[in-house]
Amino acid sequence: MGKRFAILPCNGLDKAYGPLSREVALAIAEHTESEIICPVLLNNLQARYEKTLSGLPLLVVDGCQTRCATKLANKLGIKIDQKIMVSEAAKEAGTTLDKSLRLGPATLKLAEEIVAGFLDGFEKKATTADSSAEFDAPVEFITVTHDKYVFKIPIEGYLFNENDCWVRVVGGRARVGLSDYMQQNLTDITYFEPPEVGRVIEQFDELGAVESAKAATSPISPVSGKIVAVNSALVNSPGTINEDPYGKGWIAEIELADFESERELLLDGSAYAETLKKKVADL
Amino acid sequence: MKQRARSAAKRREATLKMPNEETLKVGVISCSGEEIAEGTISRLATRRVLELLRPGQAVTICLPLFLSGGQEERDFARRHPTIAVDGCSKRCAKRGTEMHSGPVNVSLVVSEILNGKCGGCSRSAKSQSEVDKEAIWRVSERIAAEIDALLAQNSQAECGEESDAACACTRPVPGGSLEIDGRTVTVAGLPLIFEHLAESGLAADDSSADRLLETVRIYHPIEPGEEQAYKSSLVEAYKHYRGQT
Amino acid sequence: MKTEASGGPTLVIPCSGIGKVHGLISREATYEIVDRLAPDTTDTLCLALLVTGDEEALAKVRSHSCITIDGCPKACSQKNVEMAGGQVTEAVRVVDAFKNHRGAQPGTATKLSEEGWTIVHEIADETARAIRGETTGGDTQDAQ
Repeated sequence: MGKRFAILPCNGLDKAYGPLSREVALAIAEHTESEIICPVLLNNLQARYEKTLSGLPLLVVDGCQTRCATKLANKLGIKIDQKIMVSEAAKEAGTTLDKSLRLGPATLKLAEEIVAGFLDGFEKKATTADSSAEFDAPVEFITVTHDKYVFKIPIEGYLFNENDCWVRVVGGRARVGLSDYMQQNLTDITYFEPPEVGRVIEQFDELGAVESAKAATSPISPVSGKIVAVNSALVNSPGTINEDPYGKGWIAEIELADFESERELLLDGSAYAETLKKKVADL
Repeated sequence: MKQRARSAAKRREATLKMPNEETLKVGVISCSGEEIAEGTISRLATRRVLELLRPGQAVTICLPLFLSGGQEERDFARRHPTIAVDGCSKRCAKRGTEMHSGPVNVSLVVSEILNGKCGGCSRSAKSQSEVDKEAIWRVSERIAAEIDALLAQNSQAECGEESDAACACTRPVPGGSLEIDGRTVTVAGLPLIFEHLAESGLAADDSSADRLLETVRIYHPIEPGEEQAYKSSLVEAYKHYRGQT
Repeated sequence: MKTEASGGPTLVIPCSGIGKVHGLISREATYEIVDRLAPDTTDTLCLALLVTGDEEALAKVRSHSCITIDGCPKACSQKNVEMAGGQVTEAVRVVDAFKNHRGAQPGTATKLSEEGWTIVHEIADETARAIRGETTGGDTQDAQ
């Protein structure tokens, strides 16, 4: 049976992704004997699900980039354990959904694939070279605008160095990557060389290499420690850094050495936004 | 004079968008049409403006991205004045901008600027001849002049001042006088035009009359029927500038 | 909305993005195909005409096979041709070609370097071969 969840689907009704998210949620619930949470009831009467949510980790199933289910969980202060975004799954599978809100054959088939992929992936143990999956992608941003360019900075949970790299810390482990400003500056990234797993690095050491038609650079680590995981998916799909620099475009995970003393050399989102404004004003 | 009034009116047709806190820049949307050489000229002229003539004052807007949903491009075009540079009279850049962001402030058409003189131009940037370079120069100078006018207009609107000719910094540009059919006409920027043409090697003799006229026409309206008078006066003035009279 | 493509030249439609070198490469690769490598079997079309609803352009993409050459993953040409009802038989992405040219400095959105032109030739050759129906690594025919 595996792990049980409290499952929160978005249940949207303006696109086919909504019914698909519901179908995925139902199927996972059946396979894992999990509980489904109604988003409307949760929003109006959170107490109804208090016991469920205190006992089970939350799996959110969003339909599209609006991420209504994720936003609802965040709004209510409920920690999200796992996430599925069905529109992304459809895109990766190259599936065009039936236009109707009723579930057609293509949509049902995709639902089966998503469920199988989730259950299969969940059962695999994380290796030292791959994601530990504890890091949620950010959902709220502040922005810095320069001409037609808009640079996003997560409001919470991310710290930055002045080399435009971010770090997100969960316990004694950190995940690092390039900021939105840096990825836009580079334009389309065509090459990623990961740093070596097991290497011990100092704060401001280089972390592998990233290359685009415009420039080549080495991400500069905001923290010191031991590299325990790298995002090996980027080797074949380096453009993921451009698409999702704060989420799927992460570069490496580091077991922290001395974060508390290094933290004072890092900037939170607001402070980074201020330095970025000055930086782009000089462009 | 009528042509200048018409141009000024055309510029004011679309509301000048004036973002409150941002530095005002002008968005230039080139059609980059692939089928004809004029599309390539629109593109390369726009790039020349961005890189050489008005860096820091112009922002190019990628038309394919703009049309296919680029929200940042569309938002910029809503907040800033825009110039559409189209290769031909189909005016895809102008129409596309109007569809997704609102009216453009200025609409330029390469084939009109060049008066149809694009016969020897190439679609590919690989095989650029002198004809291509001249065409790119003329169109880019025209775009730059329109940018100056838009920025000056904005500056005047803020200060409540009127001036005949100004660049983006609001200081008047040096003008030059010509005698045209018994009256004195001031052409803004004439010394600068002469300086540019001298640097490009234009001879100070009668053979330069056409080139002088076409160049001045970019910045200064010339009424039909007055071309010959302008040519004569410009040749004399240019010879004088070059110290030959 | 889509119609079956009839005979007639294959339309090669670049994105011509003006902001990055990739857009220039897409454009130049297109010209190399339609002007030099396969002039009798290909043609190009202004992408902007499609998107502004030009009837003649729309009719053309709906009645001819289309190959799109996009500079970057935003895939403006592919998206717009498909939205216009065109049948994209091959969607080429310039950014993928860079994977074989690590360290290349292809130039700018205004002017290509020698390396940039190498990438243009590569994309154009490969696309022209696909149009002729040749497979990679098989016997090749001379370009007509």
